[in-house]
Amino acid sequence: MATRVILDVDTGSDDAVAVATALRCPDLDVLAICTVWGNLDVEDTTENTLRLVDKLGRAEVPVYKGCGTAMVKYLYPRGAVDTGRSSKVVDENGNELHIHYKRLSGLENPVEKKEEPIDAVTFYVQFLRAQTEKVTLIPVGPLTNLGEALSIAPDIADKIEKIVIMGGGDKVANISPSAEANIWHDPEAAEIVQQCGAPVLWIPLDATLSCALNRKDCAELRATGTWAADFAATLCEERIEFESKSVGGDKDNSSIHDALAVCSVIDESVLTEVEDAHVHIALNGYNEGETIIDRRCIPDKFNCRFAVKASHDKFLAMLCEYLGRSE
Amino acid sequence: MRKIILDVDTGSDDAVAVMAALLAKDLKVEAICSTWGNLDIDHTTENTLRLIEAMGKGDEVPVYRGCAAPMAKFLCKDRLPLAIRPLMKDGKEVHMHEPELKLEKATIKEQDLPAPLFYIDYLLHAEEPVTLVEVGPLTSLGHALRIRPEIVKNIEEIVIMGGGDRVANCTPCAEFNIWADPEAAEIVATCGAKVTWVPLDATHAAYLTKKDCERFRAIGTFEANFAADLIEGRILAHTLGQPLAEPDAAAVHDPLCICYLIDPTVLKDVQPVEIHLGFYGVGEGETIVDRREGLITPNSYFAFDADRFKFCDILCDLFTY
Repeated sequence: MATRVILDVDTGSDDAVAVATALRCPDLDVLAICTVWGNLDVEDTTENTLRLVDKLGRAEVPVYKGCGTAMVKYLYPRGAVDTGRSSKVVDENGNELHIHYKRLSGLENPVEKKEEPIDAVTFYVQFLRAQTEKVTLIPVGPLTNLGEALSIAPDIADKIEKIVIMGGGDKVANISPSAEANIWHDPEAAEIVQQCGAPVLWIPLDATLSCALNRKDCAELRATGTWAADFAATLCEERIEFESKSVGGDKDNSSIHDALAVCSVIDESVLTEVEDAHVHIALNGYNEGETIIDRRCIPDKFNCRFAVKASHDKFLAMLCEYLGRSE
Repeated sequence: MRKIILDVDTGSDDAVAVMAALLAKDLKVEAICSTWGNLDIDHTTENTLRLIEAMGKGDEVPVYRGCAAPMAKFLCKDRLPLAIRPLMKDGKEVHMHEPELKLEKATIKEQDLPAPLFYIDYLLHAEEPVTLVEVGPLTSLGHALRIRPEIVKNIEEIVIMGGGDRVANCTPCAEFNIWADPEAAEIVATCGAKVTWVPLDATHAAYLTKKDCERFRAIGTFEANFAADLIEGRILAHTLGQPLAEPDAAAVHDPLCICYLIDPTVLKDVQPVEIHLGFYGVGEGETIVDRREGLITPNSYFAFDADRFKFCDILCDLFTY
């Protein structure tokens, strides 16, 4: 039987690959997609998600618009620590490059599909309370929606099979010296989700970096010949273009973070190294948003699993298999 | 007829506010939300239910259960609840808020929908604006405004019992409701709706005395007698733990918000101010009134004083029916 899942996305280039993979995989039953602010503002992440779901011929999958900003961090006078990396990235012709374009390539045309009338937080509470079987949640953006839902109705944790979070990092960071963007964007929500009582599996930067895709991988994906594969390959290539310019050096690949979270739910063997860990989130100060793993000789009781490595070949093969399926 | 939603952590003074609101002919109580605060959420919800049932209004007003903890602050170990030293009298503990109101257990139940989601659902679909009377920690409304900021369009006014300028209670500079969830308070204070603060400066000025309780008892209704019981309990707690300048007196904070809706002149020296909240350290939960000249953009009204005689008269009118 297909695994029942809810995606929570800030679409977003890698989110789009994740959504397409989930909707093309017969082993997943995507019950709903929630949107959230993050890579872009929530109006754009919602619009991108609606267009993608429609384009994939899955307009029956409901999309719930979520929160537009963090639970509390931006209330603090110095809550938004300067990440110090705001310089523009441009190509040889002076065109500005982005890792997440406001409107993703391939989704230029508006669609009929609209978001559902209730918001993502209300949806989580009402839907999960009504379930007799547990549901797997795959949040791959800031955790605001779930943080809100679990604050308002902590009882819904009992209806969650597991939460597979794309976020955090042990030896890898991106938005600040020690933090990954999804967690840094809403550390309080992440801490609430981590401590809610449902099983948590982290798909952090360590794992996503270990299975980054290069241009040859993109060509392989595109060669499967479907719209979805071509769409995903194009987004991956745009990410590689951006990262090669922004990181510099000889970097010529890109982590498709969110898609690894989805693949981990389809077949966890794509993760080749997963540690039991005790994790808390740093809430303020220089390490705001860091996923702190208890490293003492005798750590506190494990409260999650933390993936540190994934198989590049398996990840690519899964993307080719699912995105390459005829619509 | 002004429509209101009450948000309470019942609570001794909350109970007086609930009775006053339900008896006011000019107010229509659309719903009551409970919140954690004076007591845990189970007790504040049960107390609210048993009170409206005792008033014979159990089937008239829906009660929605709110949150059990603040939005974020308890995530930080250095921001956990204060240890409260109990007040003692003749070897017995005295509480400003007894865990259970001395009324029959409730037979009615709260609604299934959590309070923050009720706010969203109600306010998104309201045909006319409603006034929110918030007399506990602002957790539920903070969540609701975070999730759906556009609900502010149907809020006529938010009346907050909380904060203080030159008066504090739970820390050297903070009032309890605001200290309990400063993040939620900041979201509410800056949401864009008309916000009126009824802080300790006003509620301490509007103290009630044992003599006032005698006036209530002479009225003889259930609400007048029960209010007198509750206020006498508060007078004892005040005398032991927070003595006011006037002996044998108590601040009865929450109903002052209700009386303000019936007669705004019960509040005095109401000034437009810019308020922000202290979040961390010794200033946690302080309602910071921006005092810089020429720099402020008022975001709310703040009552620096109140008329205690008018307050008592309005309550007597309400309890007489």
